[in-house]
Amino acid sequence: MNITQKTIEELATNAKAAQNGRDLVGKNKFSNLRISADKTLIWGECAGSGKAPYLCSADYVDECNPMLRCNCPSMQRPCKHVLGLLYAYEKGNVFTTAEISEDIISKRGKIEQRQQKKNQEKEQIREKTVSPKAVNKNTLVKKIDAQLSGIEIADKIMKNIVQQGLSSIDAKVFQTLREQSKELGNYYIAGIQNAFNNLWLELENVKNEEYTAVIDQINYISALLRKSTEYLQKRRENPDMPPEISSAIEEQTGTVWKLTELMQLGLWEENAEILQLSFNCYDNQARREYVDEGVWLNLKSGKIYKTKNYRPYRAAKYIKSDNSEFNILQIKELFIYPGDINPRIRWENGTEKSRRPDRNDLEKIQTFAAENYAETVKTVKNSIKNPLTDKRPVILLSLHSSYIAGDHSVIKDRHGNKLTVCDMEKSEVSAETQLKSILPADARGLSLLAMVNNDVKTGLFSVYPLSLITSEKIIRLLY
Amino acid sequence: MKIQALYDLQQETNRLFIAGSKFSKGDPRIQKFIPVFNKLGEKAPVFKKIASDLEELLDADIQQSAEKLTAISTLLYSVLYTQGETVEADVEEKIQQPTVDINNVNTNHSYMQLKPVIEALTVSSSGRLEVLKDAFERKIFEDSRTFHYLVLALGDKYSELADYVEKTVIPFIGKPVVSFLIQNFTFEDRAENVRRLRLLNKLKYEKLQETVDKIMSLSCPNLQAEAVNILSDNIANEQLIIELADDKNKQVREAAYQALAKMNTRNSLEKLKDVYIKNKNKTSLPAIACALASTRLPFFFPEVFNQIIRTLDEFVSLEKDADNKQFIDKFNKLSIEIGILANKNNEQIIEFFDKIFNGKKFSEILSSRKNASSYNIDSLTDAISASLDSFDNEKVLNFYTHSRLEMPDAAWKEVFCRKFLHKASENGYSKEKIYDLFAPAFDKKIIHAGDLHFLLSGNQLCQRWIPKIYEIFKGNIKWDYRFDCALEIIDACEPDRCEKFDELMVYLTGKINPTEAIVLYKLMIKRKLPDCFETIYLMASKVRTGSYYYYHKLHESDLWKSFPKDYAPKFKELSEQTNMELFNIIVEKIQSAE
Repeated sequence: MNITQKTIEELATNAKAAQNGRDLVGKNKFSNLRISADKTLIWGECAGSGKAPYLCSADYVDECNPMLRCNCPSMQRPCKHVLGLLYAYEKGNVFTTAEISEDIISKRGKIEQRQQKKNQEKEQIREKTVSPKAVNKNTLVKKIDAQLSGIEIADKIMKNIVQQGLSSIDAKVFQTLREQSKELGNYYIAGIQNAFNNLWLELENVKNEEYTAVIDQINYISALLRKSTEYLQKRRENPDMPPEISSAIEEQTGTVWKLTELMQLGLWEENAEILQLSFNCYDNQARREYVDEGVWLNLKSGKIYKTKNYRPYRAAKYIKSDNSEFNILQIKELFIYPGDINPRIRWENGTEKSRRPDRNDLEKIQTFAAENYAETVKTVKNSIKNPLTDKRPVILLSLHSSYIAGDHSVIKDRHGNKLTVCDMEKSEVSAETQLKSILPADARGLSLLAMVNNDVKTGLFSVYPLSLITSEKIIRLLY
Repeated sequence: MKIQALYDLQQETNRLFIAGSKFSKGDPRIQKFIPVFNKLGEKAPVFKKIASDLEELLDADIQQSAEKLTAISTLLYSVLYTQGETVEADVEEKIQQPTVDINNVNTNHSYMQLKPVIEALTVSSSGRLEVLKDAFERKIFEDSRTFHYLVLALGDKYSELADYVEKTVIPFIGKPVVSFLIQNFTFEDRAENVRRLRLLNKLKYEKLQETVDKIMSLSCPNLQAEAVNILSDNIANEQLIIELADDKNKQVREAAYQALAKMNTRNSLEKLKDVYIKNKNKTSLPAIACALASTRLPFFFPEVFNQIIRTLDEFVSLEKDADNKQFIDKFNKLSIEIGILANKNNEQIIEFFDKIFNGKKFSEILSSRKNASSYNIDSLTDAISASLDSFDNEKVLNFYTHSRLEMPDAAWKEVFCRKFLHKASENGYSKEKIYDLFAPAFDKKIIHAGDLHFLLSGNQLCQRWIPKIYEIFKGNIKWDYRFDCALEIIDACEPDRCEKFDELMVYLTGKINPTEAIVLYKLMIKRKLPDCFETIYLMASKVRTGSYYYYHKLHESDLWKSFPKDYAPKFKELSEQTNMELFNIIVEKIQSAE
């Protein structure tokens, strides 16, 4: 059983749950700690507020997929009691050897049966990719009709806003607009509805009559309405046409991809090796959810991907948050969402293996870093000029030297091309200040993972630093 | 190269978005861009397209205007996204100088480990200090990403947290934090910067002298006070500190007094002595006295001591009818100056205290003033105690033995009586000797059973005390911890079967509030008093919410575990009748007993 502080934190729903579990060990709440002879199962009792203690166990018969159980009534799983049990083991508390109970043995049997069923389903999916299920044209056309009706309403809302002007939106109008955009939820266009929610948020954030971000969002919505109308009309005329995968239009309109669909569209990679270079968690107020975002590098192709774990506010406490990952993950089936520079990826939990990155891996990362900023900037500009693409793609840059210009660091490639390193928002502690304190003037042998920020107001094309990669280690400036 | 016309047009289209596209028809400010973009269009067709879109916008009616405006804006922003410059123009260029060696950077902790710690350092919420202490044990502060936040936390409103970061966390990390401490050091006179300066000194920042020099040239007394302390580490600054002892600013001046004492040289102490003797400013006296108290005064002790004697003489020579303010001023001055005698270990001081303790005049003058508040008395007794603590035990015991601590007119000496008792116990005085020395003070109620209780652990309590202790239960009783101590003393000294003590306990059951009787309950059970469980049950059944302290003790007490199990339903019934949680807890305790 590989039980370390790190592995426990990975199992915990969030940092608070882990902390609560640790506290229980500190308060000596555990008793009757037991371990199976083959060291695959630990269990014990944890004193709670009631008379009888909670019974919790951690079954590591499948090392990659430990089964954590507790009979407490908490909705949060794994609960603090079972996390505490793991901490007690990690801390070196004495566990006496005992027989595994019948109950656990029967549960293990059931899990095995479930796993077999899952494998069968997977096989079925594979078969489906070879001979995909025929599309029900009538249903598809009906859905597209509904979507087009929704888009028509959205278009009217948008035109009305532009025609009357942003200054005419007082509190009452704002409320009406919000109500109207809620209607869009009935037309299978959740993506468009989210775009409107973002617009309302930008409007609320306007300070000193500075509307650039609002107008940028209006441009996005206008382009999205136009492009989605064209796309949906084409699909309506030809329902046999496969969904577009060269852009994220389907997802931007509101499609939620299933892994089987991605597989059917060939958007997956077998036996991929990926390494997380950066991680962050941010609050997406428009979607009313927290987003755990990881930035990953495909060690075969050098492509930069993102993982996104959405945790809606109302269920955030019960949904496991993602965490920083320092190992290279070896994934049997890596699913890749349609997208542009940094497509989103997913894989089935528990199917991955991991290994520690070594010097060769770090050297390999350097080989994927862009050596000519001029070319990279050109590629990025070409992508972001499309109103529907991600305006802040993540890129990997090879460094040659650095200096300070004004308040910011500037990095140079070996051809002398320069790029300004700049925070997205001004704050006292930031990735930029962290980088400034460690970045040497002679930066040869280093690579910088950074997020592009082309500010159309100031006209500065800068990069926001995420991680610095040396031949020895990855220095994370965020998490 | 930046095409300014694009940015100017962006401003104008933004204006139309704000005002409404309905005003776009024939807009002259849009009109003027058409020739500009037509001209630009000769080089790149996209500009030609913008020019023609602008024309369409100017001609569009209200219904079409929104569509036209968004079309132009989308195109314009698309072009703008291809335009950004990668470096700022006209800014000063400097060499990039890292402050931390890249090889020493550690970012091995995960989001789940770091996030709560960073939140505890930056966001106000409860339990933050505990999170930091836990993180410290788990070595999370080895992660370089915490350094910046730690420095920010030095300015936290919750001073205990800032103290913990300053005194425990940052010293543990050491040198690597120095660059973060210097970063954004603003020379503003705030507590946060004082902490930073103190840490820079502790972590031996190489350019500290420059920082200190700059601080001394500014007007920031809090920082200067800390800077003076730093300067006092170097003997070369002696003259500067001597001069600073006359500084206009009180904080700087007082820091200089402390620095003079810390330097402890002839010159520095001469200055400190002069400041004390010539001191006219009453408000600085506590700081001067505090500084003088911190040194053993290898030089100028006689001068300083004579000044204290003069102050005592001034006090005792006060007329009986002197006005109250004069009395309080002189008494306070004396208390503060006696504080100077701490850490001196000089025989003359013992003689001086003897004069105070045994001199009739001093006690008379104190007892003549009923309004000499206990606060003032405490400051005097604290000062004397601090001074006595610097002497060896034998001298102190000798001093106490010859002091008339039990004088009835000297209530202010009570504290010394207790100190004497502890010193006597520490020095292994026999139980008889202790009784002989302190029984008179007990009779005069200068010490009580609570003061004697500690003697039990060293078996230093003579049997002769017991009759005196029985005596205190006579008459009206207002129960407090002293009576609990008295019961425990009797229990320890009396044999297992003692009728007198049993009678006393039975008598007390009718006298004490049942909430306060925990010790009595325990002793009744311990001594197996007949019907003790029933008696306690009946007393407990009268418990209603009392003082939090006793109520809580009743909850916590394990005495319930010794109850027979058949009392559980009886207490359960009480719980149902009264709705009091206490009885439920008692039931659980009775049932959980093995």
